[in-house]
Amino acid sequence: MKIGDLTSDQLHQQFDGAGLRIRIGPFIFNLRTQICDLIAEFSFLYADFPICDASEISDFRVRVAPAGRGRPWREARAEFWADGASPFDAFPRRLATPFAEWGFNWCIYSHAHQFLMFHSAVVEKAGRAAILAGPPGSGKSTLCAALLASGWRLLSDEFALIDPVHGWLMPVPRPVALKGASIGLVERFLPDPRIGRVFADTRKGTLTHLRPPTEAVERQCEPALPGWVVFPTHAADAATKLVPLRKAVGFLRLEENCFNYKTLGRAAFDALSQLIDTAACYELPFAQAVAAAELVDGLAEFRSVAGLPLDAA
Amino acid sequence: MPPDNLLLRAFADPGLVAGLGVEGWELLLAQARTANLTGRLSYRIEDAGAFAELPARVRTQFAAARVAAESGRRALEWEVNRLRHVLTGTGFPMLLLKGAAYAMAGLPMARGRTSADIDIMVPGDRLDRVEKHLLAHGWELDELEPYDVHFYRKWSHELPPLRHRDRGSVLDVHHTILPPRSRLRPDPSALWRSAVALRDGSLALCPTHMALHVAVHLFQDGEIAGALGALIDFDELCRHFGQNPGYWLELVPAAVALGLVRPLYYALRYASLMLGTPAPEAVMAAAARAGQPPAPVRAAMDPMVGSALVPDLPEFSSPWRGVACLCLYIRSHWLRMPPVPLALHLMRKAWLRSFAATS
Repeated sequence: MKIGDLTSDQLHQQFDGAGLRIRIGPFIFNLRTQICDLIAEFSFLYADFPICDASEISDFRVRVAPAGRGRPWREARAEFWADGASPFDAFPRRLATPFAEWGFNWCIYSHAHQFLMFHSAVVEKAGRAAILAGPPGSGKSTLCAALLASGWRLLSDEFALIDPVHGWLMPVPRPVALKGASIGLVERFLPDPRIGRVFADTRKGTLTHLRPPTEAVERQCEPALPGWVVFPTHAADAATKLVPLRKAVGFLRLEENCFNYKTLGRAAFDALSQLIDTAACYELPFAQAVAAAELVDGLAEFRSVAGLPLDAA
Repeated sequence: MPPDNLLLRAFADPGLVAGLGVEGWELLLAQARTANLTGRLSYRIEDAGAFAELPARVRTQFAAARVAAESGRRALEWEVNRLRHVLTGTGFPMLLLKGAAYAMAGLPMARGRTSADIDIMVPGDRLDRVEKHLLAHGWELDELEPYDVHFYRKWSHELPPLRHRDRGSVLDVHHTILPPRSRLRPDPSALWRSAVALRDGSLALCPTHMALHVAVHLFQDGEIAGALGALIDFDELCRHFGQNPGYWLELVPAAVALGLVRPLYYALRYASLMLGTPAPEAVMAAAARAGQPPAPVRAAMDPMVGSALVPDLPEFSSPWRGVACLCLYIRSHWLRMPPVPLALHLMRKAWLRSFAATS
């Protein structure tokens, strides 16, 4: 059973009652809310995600609840709760969807220390993953969307989750957050863009979400082996090119994007070393996402043409 | 009816998790996360031999919580190492309190335990010099309201929190275990005399004083937020050190000598009642004889303590819990300050709070 299979009434009944247990990659979120806009927007973006049966224990119990009812003259507000914790102050209720997405991120990076977690987008082709790492504004989401248009599978727009035991990457194919000018771009280069509501004035500017491709969700339990680590940086006047990085530099750059490097300690060093040993590292300054995606696509092309082993296990 | 404190029941009887369904597990995991006790719960269940049968997803969550707690322990050990480095050679003795002491003493209860900050005790007459020395070596005083600084300096048994400018760690420097003007004033020199040396050369309170310090912290010092964790500390200290019969023989006499029989009575009462702490009958009777409050006070404390120990999950919060916590908060301040300064302090806090809420 998927979220998209439920009628609007069923959705409201479940979200407003005991909550809906949704499988998102390796995690199960139990989401409860009575905010109608959030239910509508969430069930559009997450339509392909499976609903767990009642015998599954959730990892995160999340509630997005109306707040500030005592002050009807002010703009309606809402709160995000994960178990007993609330990572943000109350926010405008019309921004419930972006805040729920940020709250889901918070749940993962605060608790999921079974993984080594990096702030990056991850896409896969022929079993190999490209890790697109960088701070917000580096253009990784736009590049990620451009790679989806060239047949790459979405693993994640926000997290590289490395299983430190096996060294593979676990998908968590949640919606891709698109900001500002990249929204129009992505609408042009994706053949069938399914884009959610556009929020004009979030703390990160204009923001919307790209619904994850159905195939990415259907294959969300299928890990990928690391292939490439790419550090994109978008600049309007950049000469778009792949610049190979020395492994030691790649290691340090990727570590800067790690959420829990210190928390995992020795296991983090070992897992990151293993990853960097397997993956080639590049810097990718780019002006246009489509041209940059062609270069990354060429890496996968080259690997399969050269007959390099695609299966390191 | 107060909400189900499943977390407390699981610590008292870890075997009960074998019978939990999905909803039970979700409540237990949510309460454990809220009270910051997930790692400790996992070890309590493992020690009871109930770990192998856990659902796979629960085991994963426990493993992740253990990773986080283990990294906290590493950071704590490093912090103790740095403090020793700074304070050694100055001739100031350093005594570790609470989590730092449990970790450095290698107590089983330190497994999975997290500490937000590090607590040390130094002799009261050297406090100024220790503070200057720490400030000269990278620790900084947090920006506080002048009133709060005044409150710490006048009414508290510790310096305002110090934060290391590079590592961000927070250090509480105590000079005794209770505020200097509170109703109970244990003699710090007795604590120093019976302190024990740890493997790294720093000091810790002796076992009975360690347990008394937790009891004081719980029932005299008013940290309501971490009440369940503190009660579990007391229980686990008693279970560990109680394997040596000498511990139980010395506990009540040590409390009598320090004048701490009342908090000891409460700690023993609620730990044995709620967590099944195996305190011998004779010890319970002796603590009751020495420290039992009048019956009406006991009758008022029971439900208040019961409510304050429930993890604060918003959807289960009851107005009663808020009232109980407020009463315990006022009670703890009543015990540490004379009535007039207390009334002024609480009025000031209440005014600031309502001001903050409307601005």
